[in-house]
Amino acid sequence: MNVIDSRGGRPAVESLDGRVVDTFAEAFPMTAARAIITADTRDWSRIAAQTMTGYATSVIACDAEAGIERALDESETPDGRPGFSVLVFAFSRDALEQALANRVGQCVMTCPTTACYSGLPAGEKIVSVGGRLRYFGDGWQVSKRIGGRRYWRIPVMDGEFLCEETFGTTKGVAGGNLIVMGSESGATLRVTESAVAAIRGEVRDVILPFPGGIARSGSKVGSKYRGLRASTNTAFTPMLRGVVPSEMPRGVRCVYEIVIDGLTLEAVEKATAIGVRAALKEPAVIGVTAGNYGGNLGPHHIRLLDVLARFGETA
Amino acid sequence: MPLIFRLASAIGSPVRLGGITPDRLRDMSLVEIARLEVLQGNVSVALGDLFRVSGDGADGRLTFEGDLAGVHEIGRGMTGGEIVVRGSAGRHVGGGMTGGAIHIHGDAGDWLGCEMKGGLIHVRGSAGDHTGAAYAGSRRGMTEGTILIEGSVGSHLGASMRRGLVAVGGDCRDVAGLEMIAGSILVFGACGRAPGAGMRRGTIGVFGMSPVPLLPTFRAAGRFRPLFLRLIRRDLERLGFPPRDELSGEELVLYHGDLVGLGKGEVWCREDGGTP
Amino acid sequence: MSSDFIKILGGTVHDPANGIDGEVRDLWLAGGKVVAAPTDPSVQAVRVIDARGLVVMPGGVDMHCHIVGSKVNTARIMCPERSREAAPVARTATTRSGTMGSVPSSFATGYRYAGLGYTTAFDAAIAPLAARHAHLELADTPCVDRGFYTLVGNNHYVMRSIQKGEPEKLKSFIAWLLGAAGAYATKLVNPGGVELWKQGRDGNARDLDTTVDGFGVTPGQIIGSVARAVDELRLPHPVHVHCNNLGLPGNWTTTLETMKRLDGHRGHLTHIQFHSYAGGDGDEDTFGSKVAPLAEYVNAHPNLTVDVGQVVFGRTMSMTADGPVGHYLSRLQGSKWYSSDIEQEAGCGIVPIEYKNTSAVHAWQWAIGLEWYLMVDDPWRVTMSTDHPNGGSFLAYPQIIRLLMDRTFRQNVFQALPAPVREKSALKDLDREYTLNEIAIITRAGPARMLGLKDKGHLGVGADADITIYAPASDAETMFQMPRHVIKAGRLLVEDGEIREPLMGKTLHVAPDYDREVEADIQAWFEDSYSIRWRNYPVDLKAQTEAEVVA
Repeated sequence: MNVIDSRGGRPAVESLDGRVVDTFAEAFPMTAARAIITADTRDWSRIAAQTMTGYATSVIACDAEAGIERALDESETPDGRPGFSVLVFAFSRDALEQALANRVGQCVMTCPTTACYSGLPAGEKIVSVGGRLRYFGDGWQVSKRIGGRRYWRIPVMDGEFLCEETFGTTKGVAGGNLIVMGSESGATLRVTESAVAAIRGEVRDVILPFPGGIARSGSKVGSKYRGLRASTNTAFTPMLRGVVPSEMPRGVRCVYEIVIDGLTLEAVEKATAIGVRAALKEPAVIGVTAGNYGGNLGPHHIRLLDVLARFGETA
Repeated sequence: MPLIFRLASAIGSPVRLGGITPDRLRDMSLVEIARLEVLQGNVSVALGDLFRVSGDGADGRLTFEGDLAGVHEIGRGMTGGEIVVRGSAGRHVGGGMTGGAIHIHGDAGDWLGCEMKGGLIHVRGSAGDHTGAAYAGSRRGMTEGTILIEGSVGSHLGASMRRGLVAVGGDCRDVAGLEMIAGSILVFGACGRAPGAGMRRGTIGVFGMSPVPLLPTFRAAGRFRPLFLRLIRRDLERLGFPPRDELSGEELVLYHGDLVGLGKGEVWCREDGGTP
Repeated sequence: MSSDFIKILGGTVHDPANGIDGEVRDLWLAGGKVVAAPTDPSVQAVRVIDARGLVVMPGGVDMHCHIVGSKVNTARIMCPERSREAAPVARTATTRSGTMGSVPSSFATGYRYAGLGYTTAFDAAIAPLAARHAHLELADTPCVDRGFYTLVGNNHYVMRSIQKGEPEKLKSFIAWLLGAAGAYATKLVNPGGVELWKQGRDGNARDLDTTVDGFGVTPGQIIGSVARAVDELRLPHPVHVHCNNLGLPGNWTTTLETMKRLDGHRGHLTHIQFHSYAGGDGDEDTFGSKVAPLAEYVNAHPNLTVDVGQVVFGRTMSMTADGPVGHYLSRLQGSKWYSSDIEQEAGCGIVPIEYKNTSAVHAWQWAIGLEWYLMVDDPWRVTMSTDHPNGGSFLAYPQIIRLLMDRTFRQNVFQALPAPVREKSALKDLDREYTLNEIAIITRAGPARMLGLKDKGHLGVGADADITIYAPASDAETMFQMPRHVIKAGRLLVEDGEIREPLMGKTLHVAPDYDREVEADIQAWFEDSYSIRWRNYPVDLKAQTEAEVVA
């Protein structure tokens, strides 16, 4: 086997086929909640879910990272209507609460026929969602306790907006990632899309918050400009080869990143493995790697070779 | 295996069983239990004189067998565990209870679940007046918990209710939800006069008659499909109440009232009640 | 029988009316009275009660409570939850069952009074039209000698005769009324104000010179005229006055003015705590105590006596003939409310209430009551009461005794009160502690004297043998909570907290003479106004109960 040192631009070995770099993604704990959005039709619940998760790619400049987890059918929702589950991640419970209140209030409540419920069990650490939105009812809101859970019914123009008062939260994992490096842009994009589809199709409890699940402008910490927290990740920008230090193997002309946030570390690890395996199916992919900060910032180190072994093909 | 109480002979003077609850009996021997005293009429008698006691109360389950229509206060004040009555039960079933479940496979008397604070009462037959209500003079009645009556009930259903859910498969009589503070009362049959009289907030649904004889101080708002009733339906299914189509989100007529007071209560029914 | 002696041996006797302040001496009883010790040394007592080491006092006299009649029963019916929340009183071989709570049932009331060592109690407010009910219920209130004061301050005939300037007619009417009702004394409740309330929305008398519509008299005139009539009739108890403006901030000026309008005649101002407030019109921030100037006036005017009307934290019942007060409290608290109009005579308001030690106003009321006890110099002129149940239950008397006798205990409760009271009430500097003798005065000897009951409240020869024997304890509340023995009319009533013999007392009333010729005038007015017949009005007391006329 050839061991390729990632800094020298050579691929690692002792993996499936030598293209996977022996490195790790560095991930962080973030507070997460799950929102279940239902509507009279699947289309309207999708519209609400998409609007809610629209501007929510990264906490660098968004109040939260959010994305659609999966579609839910009638048997899976509290009110027996079609819907979607959405995951939201933020730095703190307070930040999460504010983000949820804003997003559910501005994007779900505003959307025809929707209702919104908590998708995580209520433990000690809860956030108030319906409890904050209820005031929109201007005194006409009605609270209902059903089956031990409390909901607010807020009168709106097409009837009532039903929203659960408090949402359960959990300590999730954010910042899992895999970086796909290919020789040809079209093929690299297509295979990254298929990796996104594979993750979304097979793994629950995760979201891929960037547009279409893919980040094209991966960032590094810091910048030459004072005040800019992040800047383009020059180690992975092909057009700067030769003038900046590079982590790309020879021949890489296009790089895409998939960022994974999940409710559990295991879910992020499984998603990583599935994503990597899907990416390797494309011959134009020269290497698959992951981003980290040297390993001293984030408590979770998701080693690519490790997760590939643990979440084998049959897994 | 639960603790089983089999009625030894027909009840003469009324018996008050308050205080005979799963938590209290959990660690007692059969001999001790048989010696517990309860009031029959105005004298104390031993439980063992009224019932043949067998089984084991360690898992907090009590079963009563026989026609207990003359036995009152079954499950009054209980905090947990389960009581099953295979037969009818008397008055004051589950009064003031805070937790646990009572299942009556028969009818029950007046004052069922009065001033209940939690738990579940499920009656397969019918119950009497003042189900889930308040005792005379109290500001509030039931404050939490669920009462399911598959048959019919009498008057003053859920009077002064503060919170909780009461569902009646059959009919109720006059002034259901009288002076209700909040909570939900669903009647799938017909109701008597003036449901919701004096209600402040809360939800009353009457699905088995049209028009519903509301007071003139209720205002119609129109026909809507209340989504929250679907959540209640799911909860009722989970608890074993026979499924009801009325809660599947079809169109119902909404009335606001009672406008003699706060007027933030609501009554849902099937067709226009004919009030102005 | 009359020569059967009972001896109370070696007790520490407190008989302030006879100057005995904690002396060890024997007491001899016979025929229901205190008697001199038999001169013949061979004469034995048939029973000796060993009171060595124990405190012996006359039986307690409650001279202002609400225990019988229509408003008490209405309160019970209106608030069954209060009775339900308390443990029931079980029947025994000798006593009947009952209920407790804010308004205990009739038998329970008598037993509990006896249990505290009280042997005499007077209901403070009965409308003459409802006298029959009161007498029937007094006959069902065991253990205590009893009576009631009857309402005259909003009586139409009274106001008419004042308007017409006919003091002789007024005097005769009052005498006739007391006899017809079987009452003990005259009561004024918000004189003139209740009539205004009955006439229309928000009617009331805001000062003593408001004219009562339709009668052309003022509260001040009613107070002065009735006080004078009572003195001229030489009734044993003075006019008993519940001043106008009860409970309102700033009402202390009305109270002071009332005292002045008595114009030197005897007057007893009742539950004076409720009438001692500083403050402006509905301005709670300036609510506070004006006990100091009022107590100073009382101290300087021996024609005046007061009972305090102490507030006790907790739930209780407001029941008063002062109809508008009921409405005011009900609106303040949002609670249920009863109001009634007794034709030609009086009004009534009933509201369940709660005094909270977290409320600045309630804390002030509590403090003001105690300020009264501690600022009136002469204990013979201030009496203990809670205006049961308006300020609290009579069952709280032992607690109040402890507050008066133990300044550390008092300060502990005081320091837990809201800041405005803690900082501004005179209580913080009042160190006085009541002695046992002073307690004996304000709970027995004093009220008996105020009532003119010559045979009550003391243990001299000829006194009724109503005696309470207490065991000293670590604190006064414990001591007064459960007397060791209570003797009523020379018979052992209570022993160690249990009723030994369910004795019934007798009803005390007055029957003063009056000018019979005035009766024709009264009858004419009566038949013109009342909805019942003239002949059905007077109560035939002897047919109902054991009664005694007090001259």
